[in-house]
Amino acid sequence: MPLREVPEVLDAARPLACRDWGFQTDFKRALDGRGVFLKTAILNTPHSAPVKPDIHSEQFLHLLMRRQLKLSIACALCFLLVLLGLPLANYFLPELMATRIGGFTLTWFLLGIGFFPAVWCISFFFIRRSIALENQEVAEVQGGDKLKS
Amino acid sequence: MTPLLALSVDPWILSFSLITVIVTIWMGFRSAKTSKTAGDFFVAGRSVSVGWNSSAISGEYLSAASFMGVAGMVMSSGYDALWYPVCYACGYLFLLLFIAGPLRRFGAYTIPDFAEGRYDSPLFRKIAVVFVLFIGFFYTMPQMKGAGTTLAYIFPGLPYWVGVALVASVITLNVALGGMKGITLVQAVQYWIKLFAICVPIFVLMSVYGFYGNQLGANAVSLTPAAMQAPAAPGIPSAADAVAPRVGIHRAVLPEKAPADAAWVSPFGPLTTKAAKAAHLTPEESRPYSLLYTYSLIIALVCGTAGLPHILVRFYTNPNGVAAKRTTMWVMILIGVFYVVPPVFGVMGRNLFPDLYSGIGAKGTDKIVLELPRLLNERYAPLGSILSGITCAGAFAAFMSTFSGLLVSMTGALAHDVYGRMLRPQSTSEQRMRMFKFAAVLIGGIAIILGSFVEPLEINFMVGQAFAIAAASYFPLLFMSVWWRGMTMRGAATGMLVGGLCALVAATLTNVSNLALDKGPMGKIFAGCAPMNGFWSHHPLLRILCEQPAIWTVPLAITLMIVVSRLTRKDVPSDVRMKMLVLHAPEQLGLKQEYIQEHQPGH
Repeated sequence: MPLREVPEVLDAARPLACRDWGFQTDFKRALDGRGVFLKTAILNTPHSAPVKPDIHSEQFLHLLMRRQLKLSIACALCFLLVLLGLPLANYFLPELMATRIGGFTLTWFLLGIGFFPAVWCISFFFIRRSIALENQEVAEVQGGDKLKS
Repeated sequence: MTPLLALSVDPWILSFSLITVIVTIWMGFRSAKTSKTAGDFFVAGRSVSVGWNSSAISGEYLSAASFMGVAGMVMSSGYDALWYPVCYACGYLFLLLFIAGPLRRFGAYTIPDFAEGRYDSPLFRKIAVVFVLFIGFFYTMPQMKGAGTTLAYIFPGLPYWVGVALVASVITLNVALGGMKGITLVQAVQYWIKLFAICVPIFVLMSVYGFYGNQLGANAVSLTPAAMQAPAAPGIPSAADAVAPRVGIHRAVLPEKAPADAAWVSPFGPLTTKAAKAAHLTPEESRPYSLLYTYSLIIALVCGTAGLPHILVRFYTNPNGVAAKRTTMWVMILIGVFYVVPPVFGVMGRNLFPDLYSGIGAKGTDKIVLELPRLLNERYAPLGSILSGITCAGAFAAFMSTFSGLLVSMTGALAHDVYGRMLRPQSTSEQRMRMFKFAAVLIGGIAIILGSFVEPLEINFMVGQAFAIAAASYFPLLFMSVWWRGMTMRGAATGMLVGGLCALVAATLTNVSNLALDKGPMGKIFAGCAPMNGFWSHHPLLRILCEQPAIWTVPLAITLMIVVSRLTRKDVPSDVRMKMLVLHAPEQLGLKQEYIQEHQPGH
């Protein structure tokens, strides 16, 4: 694995508190609107001397966590909206929620049956996106490596 | 056993249950031969495929609470109890979104391993281990109640505690000899047994007595006359149509103790209004309390799933992070499919078998899943017994698999952490294996004692409490450690300890005051706690916050973590960036190996 050759001095040399903001903006520029990394942009940034993103840098970690957290939070919000909204609907719209559908009350139907497929959809979406994100991260780093060697 | 007792045993039910137990033990012993090393015992050599692993997680997760407790609680409390199965299933989404992937990448055997690795603190490991045991024991009690209830059903007249002791001993033996490798196979098979055992009887029952919707439709809410007269839009059934009795649904007379239809079928029913009712509040006044109760329950169940130690340990048996995520997806599908069914038992039980409302302890609604199929004997003679035998087999699978999983993780904590790391760090692999077996027997014994006390409590309710403790301790620890770089060991420990202990104390208070109300022997033992019920009736809000503590303990734990971490900012681990990279970077980048190499000289 070529990765092991990365000098680890970098990590120790950069104190935690010191955030290289200028570098980060370059990284932001390297993203297109959908959050997809543009390799050409990286190649052109003056700071990315070893051509690939430095996986030990604060910026790489920041980017990594931000992208994943954003995805997780988006999915969680979707889920919480339904989960926390249902008791509110029960509270404020009791008569609507008591409407009978084939014997079920609306709220019983939503909670006892409808909830599960909704959650499956959210998790399916999440897993696909998150695996794609990981593959993309690997491609970025390894693509850079190939260029280097 | 008296001849009379032997005569009343249904041979079908007995034989199905026996087969399940024997197959479980046989599989345990068989795989004991193949698991030799300590690694095999703890995480099954990390080589379990997605299909096996997701079946095994589901098998372990679907406990007596899911199999028997949900149905019993839906029957006794109605709509509000539906939150339990739904949140049991959906809690997994939180686990998937925030914790599953990173935790797997970090690669450690147990949560205490993670706690130590993340903060480089052996002290923190000791603190974290404590909660494996706390949560484990709280989760064990309902499994024991399930075991006692089932055996008391199979052998009418058998004392509850004998059933508890019998089942716990069998499983303890199995775990002591088989370890995790055996358990993975057993758990996976048991998921399918449980799914089969709950689906087949209910479909037969529904085709004979009427389907889910029709059964529920029989519990018509008496709406206001105005609503009934309102003209219905075409195509949408009007309220009046819905209230009209559905033909063909047989309903037995409800005993006095059963809740009324309207309260049972609507939200904010008996479960959530209990405290407010005890305080003699009007229905209008008690509605905000019910809403609070509902939210607190949701938080406990959703966050608690993400903090259950015996589930989390299984993520380490995935070969990589992608597999860990795929596994969670499958787990959600498998348990979601399962959880649609138990409430149906509750609904049908209310219509067809309301006698159980008058029973207490092991004779109460918790055994509806076992008892209901027997009704079929009236029409198609042995079929009812066969189906009841199948649900009994499923119940055995349920509490046996969950209890073995718990036993493995608690025993692992004792043998791997307390003994292997704290007491005797120099111990050989062989000594640890012996310790593993000894710890299994010790914990099995404690489980029997605890299990004997909880007969009057509802299975599902007790599991909810275990979730509440997990939600206030491990969930904040894992969530914050994974996503916030600024966490320090002291911050994490303070938050986890305070939050978890508050939840633990609240749950215990609730339990002892509930036990004091019991009319059986437990009421006498806990009679000293009876005055607390007087206090609760004057302070319904406090009662709810004690019964469902998650709404304040989870934020409390997280706040404490942030505040204390900020105060001890200088103690943030120096290599935190590397740790975070290991947690979040894709595994293909090989950062994990690099991290281990870096740490080799130090450790």
